[in-house]
Parts: sequence; C-alpha cells; structure tokens
Amino acid sequence: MSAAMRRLLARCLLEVRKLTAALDDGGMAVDAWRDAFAGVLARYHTAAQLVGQGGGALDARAKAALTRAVQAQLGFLDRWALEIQDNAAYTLGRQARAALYAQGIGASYWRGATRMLPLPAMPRDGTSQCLGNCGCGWEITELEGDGNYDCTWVLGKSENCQTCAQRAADWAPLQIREGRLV
Amino acid sequence: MSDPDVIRRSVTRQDYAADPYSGSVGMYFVYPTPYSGPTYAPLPAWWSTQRDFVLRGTVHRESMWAAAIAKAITKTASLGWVINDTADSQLRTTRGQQLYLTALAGMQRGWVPFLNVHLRDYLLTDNGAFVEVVRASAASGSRIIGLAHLDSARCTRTADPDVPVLYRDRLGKIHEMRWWQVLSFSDMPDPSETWNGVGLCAASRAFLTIAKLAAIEQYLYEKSSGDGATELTLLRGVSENQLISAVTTADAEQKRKGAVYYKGKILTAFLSDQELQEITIPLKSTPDGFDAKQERDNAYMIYANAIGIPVQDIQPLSGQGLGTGTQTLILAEEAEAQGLAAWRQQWLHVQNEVVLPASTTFSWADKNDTRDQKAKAEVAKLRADTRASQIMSGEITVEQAQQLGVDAGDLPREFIAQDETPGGSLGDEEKPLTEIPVALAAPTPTTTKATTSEAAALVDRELARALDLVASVLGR
Repeated sequence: MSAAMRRLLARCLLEVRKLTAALDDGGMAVDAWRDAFAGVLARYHTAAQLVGQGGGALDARAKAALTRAVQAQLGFLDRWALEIQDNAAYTLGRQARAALYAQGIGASYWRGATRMLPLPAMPRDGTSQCLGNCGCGWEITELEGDGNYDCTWVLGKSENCQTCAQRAADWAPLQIREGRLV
Repeated sequence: MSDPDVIRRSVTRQDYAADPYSGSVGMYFVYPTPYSGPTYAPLPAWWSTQRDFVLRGTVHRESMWAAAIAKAITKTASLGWVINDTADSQLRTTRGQQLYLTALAGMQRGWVPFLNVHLRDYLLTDNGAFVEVVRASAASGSRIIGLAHLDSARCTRTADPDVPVLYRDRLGKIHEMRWWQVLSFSDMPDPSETWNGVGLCAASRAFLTIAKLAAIEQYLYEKSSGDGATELTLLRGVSENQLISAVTTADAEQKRKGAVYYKGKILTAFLSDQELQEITIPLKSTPDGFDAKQERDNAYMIYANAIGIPVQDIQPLSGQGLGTGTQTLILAEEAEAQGLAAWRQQWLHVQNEVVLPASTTFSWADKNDTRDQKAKAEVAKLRADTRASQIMSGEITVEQAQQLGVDAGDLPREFIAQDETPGGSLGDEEKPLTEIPVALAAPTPTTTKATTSEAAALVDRELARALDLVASVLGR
C-alpha cells in the first residue's frame, strides 16, 4: 500500500470517527448520519481506486466495479443503521465498527492498483478471515504480449490469517494470459 | 433447560445452585409456607407480602379454584402469537420469536412454563407479576438477550420511575431494577400513588368465596369420611364405660373386616331397666335451607368473573336446560373483554413499546378459533365488495381503493408505494410509520434497483471531492 493511500486512509478514519461521534453525542439523527456516512464511503472508495491506479479518470469498467463496491457497503451500512435505531443508547463499539468501513477502502485501492485485472480477491475486500484488517497486497508483473501477467499474493509484514497464508501459497503466482485467468 | 448465558446476566443468577446437590426441592424453604393446615387463616389486610402468601396458597385449599386458575393459564398459554416486521427483517422476527420461546422460568425454559409462573403471580398476588428484560450489558439500549420471570414475593415496587422495582435474590442482595430491565404487571392496580401500582388480584377478589367453598367441601368431606365431630349427644341411662366399650368393640370388629370409613350402625344390647334419653347439640352444620349445588354454582360464577373467563370453562353448561350452544358463544364473546383480556392487552403493548425494535410487533393470534377467522373473512369480503363497487361507479380510483384496503388491514402496507393516510388509523398492535425511516427499510445488502442507483448517484456526486482528495494525498 502506497504512502498516498495510507494518508487517504488516515483521513477517511478521521471523517468516519467524527461522524460517529456526532451520532453518539446526539447531534445527528440516525437517518442523517446514515446519509452522511454513505457520502463519505462513496467519496473515499472513489479516491482510493483513483490513487490505486495512480490518478487519471475512471473508465466504464472501473466505475461499474466501484459502484458495486459502494453498493455492497451501503447494504451493510443500512443494516448497521437499523441496529443503531433499535438500540439507540447502546454506543459501545460504534467507533470500531466505523473504522472497519474506513479500512474497507483498501479493496478499492487494490482494484485500481491491479488495473481491473480479473483477480479472484482483493486485500481488505472482506473475503479473508482478517476482513478489512488485511495487510497483504498484490504484486503484478507484466509479461511480454498483450494481457499477460503474473500476479503474486504478497503477505503483510505482521501476522497473517489462514486465508491469506493459503492464498500466498496458491497464488504464487496466479497467471493471467491474454487477459484471462488461467 | 435454562440458558446459562442469559442466567449469567440476569439478577436471578444467585437463585440457581452452583451444583446439583444443594438447593434441591425439599431441602430448604426460603420462607414460611402458607400451604399447610386444613382451615383458612384470616386474610391479612390489603396490602402486605403476608397477604400475598395466603393468596398464593388458595390454589392448595379449594380444588375448583385451582382448576379454574389452571384452566385460565393453560388457555392463555395455548394462544398463538405472531412476530411481524414491517421492514420484513427475518433477523428481527427470528430474534423476537426466540426471545419468547426461550423465556426463563426458573429451572424451566420456554413460553409455556414462563407463562404458567407469570400468570400465577398475576392472578394470585396483589403485588402482581414481574419480568426481567435481560440485556447484554447494563446500558439502557443494550441488546435484549432474554426474558426471565421474577418471583413476585421478592419484588418490591418503588416510587422511583427510574428504578421501579427492587429485586431481592436468594442471598438477600437487593438489585435495583432500572426501568429498561423490568416489566411489571398487576391486576386492578390501586389508583393511589402511595401503593406504586399494587393491585387487587383475582384471588383477592374471590377470597371469601374460595374460603366459603373450601369450608363447605371440607364439611362434606368430613361428614362423608366420618372424621371430625359434627354434634354432641348427651345420653342418660347408659354409663360412659358401657358406651366406650360398645364403640371400641364395634370399631375393632369393623376394622378386622376391613371397613375403614363406612362402618354403619353399631348395635349393642344393654341390661338395664332405665329408659334411654338423648339430647343432641349440633357443633357444626350447614345453615337452614342450605343448598350445596346453589352455593357451588354461585362460587363458580364468582370465580369466572374474578379470573375473567367464561363460566362454562369452570362448569359445563350441559344439563342446565339452557340453549347451551348459543349461550357458550355469547359467554365466550363476553369473556373476551374481561379479566385476562386486560393482561393480554397490557402484555402486547409493553412488548411492542419496550421490548421489541421499532419496526417489529408482537400480536396475539387465536389460530384455533375458526369461527373468529370466518367472521373476519366475511367482514373483509364486505369491505372488498364495497371498494369494488366504488371503483366501478367511479367514486374512487384503484390506488385509492388500495389505500383504503391498507388502512382497513385487508392489504399489506407494501402493496402501496406511499401511505397517504399514515395517521388515519393505527391499531394497538401497529406502530406508526414515522418510526421506520423509509431509507432504512431494506436491512440486508441486497442488490435492489434502488441501492444500485443510489450507489451510482453517490459515486457521481462525490467524484469531484474524491479528485480533490486524490490530488491532495498525491501531492499534486
């Protein structure tokens, strides 16, 4: 994960914490908080994908993937908002849960960084046991020819979950030839 | 079996033994039992915990009263109920169902055992019935993980709305029950504020009748079984020794033959020239003109009224020369709005206001009453026919008819895009629409058209700000 992405992630964490604190303090109604939180998620997922691809604009495929990612997050957010509404006075753990949403922008970053290659999973996309805390990454080696890549799942520096350890063993490398996973 | 997780977080946790060899039934009694002795002690004045001890003991004194209480409880326990969620959340309806199906009643767990002990407290104590709302933590909004019955004798009502009940556990420790931790019920609560909601339960209302009927049955039992003195007879012309000898000899002879209760007449010959004289003084007897059947019928009527059940639940109407079929229906309909019906309403309201989430409702459903279902279906058909006529005549549109159908409960709310008359009618089993934000109606991350379009719109809307962020973090 690049330094720019780490800066983006820090800002995102700050924003979601501020929003959630406003909810806890009673300064914000649940539905208003939900809308504001949804806006932050859309903004940072978009930014993360752009940072991942090194700037520029989003093409149609990238935008469609981004929309699907945001849509999934909104689904989770709606469920959380309902739980908050049901237990308005129970504020324990909200900040930690908000931080998980922020960590989730890492998946959009890697989607951008891997240039929309047809990879089976992205770090922090919630498909591993470590969920949004995943510290792993993809190492992409472009080969000769059109659409030929060797993609290696690189484990994070700290402890790793069983899913990631298995991925590092299986996807070392994962081969993409002529744009297709082989 | 009881749920250890719920018990661990319940104020009743000290009421359970740490091992299977201590605290078993018969090894100790926590408080003096009012269940012994053949006759009634006078009922202590209203209100004291001693009064509730005596009232609780009434089911051990009079068999028909016990049967009536059992019938009322089992009838209520067998009623069906439904958990609905206006946002169609399967998670919340499942959680709601589990909450009631796993309710704690001491060492038993489940809706029926819970209701058995809960309603006994409601019907047999003036203090009423108490339910602990067991939560994951002590915070007011904390997730509810279970319901637990609290022994009424250990609950003290307070005047503090924040801590309405003090619960004393088996070790004598007092637990302050906050308003979100306890539900309290009482029958006919006293209106004076100093009594904090103590009521006048069914046993209290019927106590004199219970005592009277118990005495009558006891008298008849003793008269039939030959136990107890009912009269004193003074005899002249026979000595005491002769009399005792005659009775003892006859008694021994009858016992030898195996007769225990019905020993018949004793015939004894005396050698005497004195005329025998007898004076009888009754010690206890029924009043002049006493009619046991009439007394029982009156008592059953009073029992039924006190509990709030149809009288034929206690005593079948057959053989009384009445149109029993019709009368049963009428009496059953009348009983729907009395006694335990009030408890049912209070239970329903409390569950919907305090226990269940905003979009989830508890409602009673007497699925076994096909007569009721048929009547409802007929009325619904009448309404549907009326709406059809109104559409045909051009009086209303199809959309307006759908709105009317939703308002009347004939159609689900989901059938209309927007409820134009949300405040039009709101039953006691419904919750206002405003409690459920429309934006939160879909709880699961489904790929509906609405969320896809919302996500796409959000990405478009936030793109410019995202580009600013990118420029900022990339240092451009």
